[in-house]
Amino acid sequence: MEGIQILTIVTFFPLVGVPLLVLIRRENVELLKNVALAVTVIDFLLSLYLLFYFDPSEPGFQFVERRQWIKSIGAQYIVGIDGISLFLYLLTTFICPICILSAWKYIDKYEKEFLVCMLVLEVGMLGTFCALDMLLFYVFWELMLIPMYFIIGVWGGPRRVYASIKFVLYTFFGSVLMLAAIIFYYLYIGKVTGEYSFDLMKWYEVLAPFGIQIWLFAAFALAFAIKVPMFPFHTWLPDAHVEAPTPGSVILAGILLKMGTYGFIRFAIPLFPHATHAMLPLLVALSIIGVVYGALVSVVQPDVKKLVAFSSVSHLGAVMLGLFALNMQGVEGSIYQMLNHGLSTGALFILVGMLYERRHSRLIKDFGGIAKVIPLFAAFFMITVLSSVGLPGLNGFVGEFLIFLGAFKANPLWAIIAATCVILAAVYLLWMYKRVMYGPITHEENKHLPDMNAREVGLMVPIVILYVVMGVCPNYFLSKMHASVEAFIDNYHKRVVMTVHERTEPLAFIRGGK
Amino acid sequence: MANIDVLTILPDLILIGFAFALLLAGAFSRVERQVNFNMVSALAFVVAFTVNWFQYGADKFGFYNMFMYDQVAGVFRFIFYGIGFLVSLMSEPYICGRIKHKGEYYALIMLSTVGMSFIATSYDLIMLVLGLEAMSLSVYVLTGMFKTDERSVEASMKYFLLGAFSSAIMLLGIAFIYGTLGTTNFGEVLESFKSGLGGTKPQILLVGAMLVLAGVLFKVAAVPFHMWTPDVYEGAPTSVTAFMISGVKAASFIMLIRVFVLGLQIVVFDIVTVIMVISAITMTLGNVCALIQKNVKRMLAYSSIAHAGYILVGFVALNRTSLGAIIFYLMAYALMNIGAFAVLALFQDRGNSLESLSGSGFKYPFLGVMMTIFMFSMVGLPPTAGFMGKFYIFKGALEAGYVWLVVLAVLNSVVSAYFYLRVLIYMFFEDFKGTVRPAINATPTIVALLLTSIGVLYLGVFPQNLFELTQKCMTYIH
Repeated sequence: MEGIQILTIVTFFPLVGVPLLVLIRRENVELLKNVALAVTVIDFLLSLYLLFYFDPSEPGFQFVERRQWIKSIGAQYIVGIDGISLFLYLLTTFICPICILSAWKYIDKYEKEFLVCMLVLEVGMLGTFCALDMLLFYVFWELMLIPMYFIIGVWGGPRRVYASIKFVLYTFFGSVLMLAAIIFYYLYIGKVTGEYSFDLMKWYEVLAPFGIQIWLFAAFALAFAIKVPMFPFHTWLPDAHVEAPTPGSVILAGILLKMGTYGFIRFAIPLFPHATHAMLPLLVALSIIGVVYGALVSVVQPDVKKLVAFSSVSHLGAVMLGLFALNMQGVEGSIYQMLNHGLSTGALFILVGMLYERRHSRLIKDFGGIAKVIPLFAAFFMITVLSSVGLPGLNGFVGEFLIFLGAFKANPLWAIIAATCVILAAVYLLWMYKRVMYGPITHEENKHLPDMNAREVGLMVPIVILYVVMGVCPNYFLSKMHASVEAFIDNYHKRVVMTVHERTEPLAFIRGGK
Repeated sequence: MANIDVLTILPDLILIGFAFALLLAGAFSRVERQVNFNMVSALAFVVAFTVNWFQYGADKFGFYNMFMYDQVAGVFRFIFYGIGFLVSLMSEPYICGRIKHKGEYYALIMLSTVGMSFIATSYDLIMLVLGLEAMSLSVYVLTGMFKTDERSVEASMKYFLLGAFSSAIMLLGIAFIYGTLGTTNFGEVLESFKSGLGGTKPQILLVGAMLVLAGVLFKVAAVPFHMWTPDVYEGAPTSVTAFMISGVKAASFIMLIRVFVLGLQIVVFDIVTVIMVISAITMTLGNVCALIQKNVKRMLAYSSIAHAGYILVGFVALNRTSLGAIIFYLMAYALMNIGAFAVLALFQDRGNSLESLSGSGFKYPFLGVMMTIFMFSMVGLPPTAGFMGKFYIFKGALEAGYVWLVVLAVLNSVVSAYFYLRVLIYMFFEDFKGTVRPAINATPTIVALLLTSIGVLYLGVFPQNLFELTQKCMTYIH
């Protein structure tokens, strides 16, 4: 394992941009943006290496790199990706340049600091998706909070201070308990196996007694459920989304929310299968409530951005449902839907941001009939809305279909209730689209809105291409996930039937005090 | 063994020499104008640090068993000299123009550091008290160094009265211990416990131990002995607050370890329960009170109470990991506090309200970035030393099985995130109002800032060496 491997290069490459940005004079805004864009684009191109050299038949981790980090406590620098994280990783490198493009005009102060925040954020996100050492994972996981806090707080809307602090406190609350659980489990595993290590592979080999699993699962699940966000932990999301600047919202919707679902797949479920099994009814119920609740709340939103934000709650509920179906279709659909949601909701936020830049309003009632004024925009908006609704032929359909298939297999009732979200999604999105785009032009200032410029088209085109590609040939993507997802499911079902003896010996370990 | 071994306190003697030289130099006004006091002071600490570097490793007894220089003492000397060095660097722009005789200021910093170092090296309760007084008396004076500033003088008076009171209580406790065991020497305590008392623990010994504990906890600023902290930390000159919050705190914790883990091991399990309750209350009260502060220094004072609570968790766990973690945490804590106070000192404002920082983050990006690093480190977010310190403490506590204490501590750090981030809210999210202006010609302070911030990040990413060092040096417990 000598020499720096591709994953490390891709993960830390954005940091190269930071000193460059610091050296460029702050007046030279165009150059700053171009440098940041170039860095993220190069990073994306580098990450394509992973796509081409990824071996779809291998269920385990690939491109693994191991290094000593903190030897005395057994923490290592381990990175690697499998079929589950591959596309989430690529999605991150793909979304970041688009975010920077979308910030081109929207961010009009402290551009330098903003771009530095974006680059650091990208490192945090990439690291989270490829870290295979629990302590390393936690470091990356928390690292994301810092730049995101600033992005919302400095460049956000009128209630940005409130939204930023709420975002940080909520997320931090969940993750510190996870930290306590991580250390606890680390010590437990050390006691049982005699080897103290944060290596995830080692952790996968251990099964704790149910009494321990359930608490640890609760701590992990809370951290991830807040990030997803699952109902009833979703209340930070509308605030953070609405107040965040466009690129912030895109990152939030596109990547950060996926951290939660990813956390469930990678950590919470495989590490604590018995606890998952026991908690399944509750988790599924919360997912379904999230699906329906998010959709219903979206219907009545007067603010487009808020509508999109709540639709995220609904979509992520569906993702969680697919995940907890714990069968091939459900989990694959869930991962696929994570990518779809990242693309289409990210795009929706970009489009809403464009509207806001033109009109300085996001209220549905301030628009109406503008499809005639800005036809190009209307077209892109339409495709994105349809993708989000799940029109066959576009990406959203594949994910949703698989999720409902999986959920139906697990329990038809789940699928039937959750499927209402498709109808409701059509209601809130298409109705919103109608009210914003069609009808007579009711406001004078809407008559002369400029249409999308080359940059805006340029940033939307790759997304739209992906909609179609992912909608038409999902197999290209699914085939790469297949082996890993299969291993994940097999492993879960194999382990959940294993009986764990409630031995008294490991429990004595939490007796407290001397 | 029974001999005078000057080498045990050689670096301290060097510091004392430098301190007297500075005092003397300050007496001649012609010399005073020519000497760069802060540089001389920094140099003194570098020399002491280097000497300690070469001495580190071997256990040595000196002055008829009054001193025991072991690895723990060595590590703490590194901490104290490091703190002294950084504080010497950062002080100049802040005290410039406010203190007439700068020689006194730096001499007192050095003498106080000598006191701390004596605490860390002492092998006898009497020596410990001597060190404690040497440290405290200097700090009382330093607190009142702004002679014309009411708050500074008030803080000094308050600190002195309460400090003297707590020292008296501690001495009473030592008298009880002496009365029971017939000795104050750590080495003989265990002997006489076995031979004289036959392994029984008379009540009076426990009373004595409790009184000593009260004296130590006063210096630690643990609840219910924390009342002086906010007023004193707020009133004292900012550079002195930085010195107290890092140095005196570290000295108090080595005192706690030295007295109860090395010396009076026989009663340590009796006091641990008390400390457990105190640590839980201390971190909660510190954090809750800090929530509503409008003054940065006062807020950091309450936060220092909370941090004392976290560190006490390490003491409660009482295993090698957690005691090592205390040392690591104190290092991290010293770095981030000196850094944060250096930023405040550079702003030169005596009010230190949160409001006055408005918008300064973008106006002065360097200081903004620095403050960001220190604040996130205090919250305990990676990749900073604060995170690794907390991680290490929690690991030690969980090893001993104190799950509830760790859960309480992590929840407390969520609460603390709110008020630390408030500093950043004012610095970055508000518009600049032009109330603060950093001092010019502050190169030494900037060097101190760079050193502390690099230290905070380095310990946050590569803590391996110090983890190992702190583990290895903690030989009191197995």
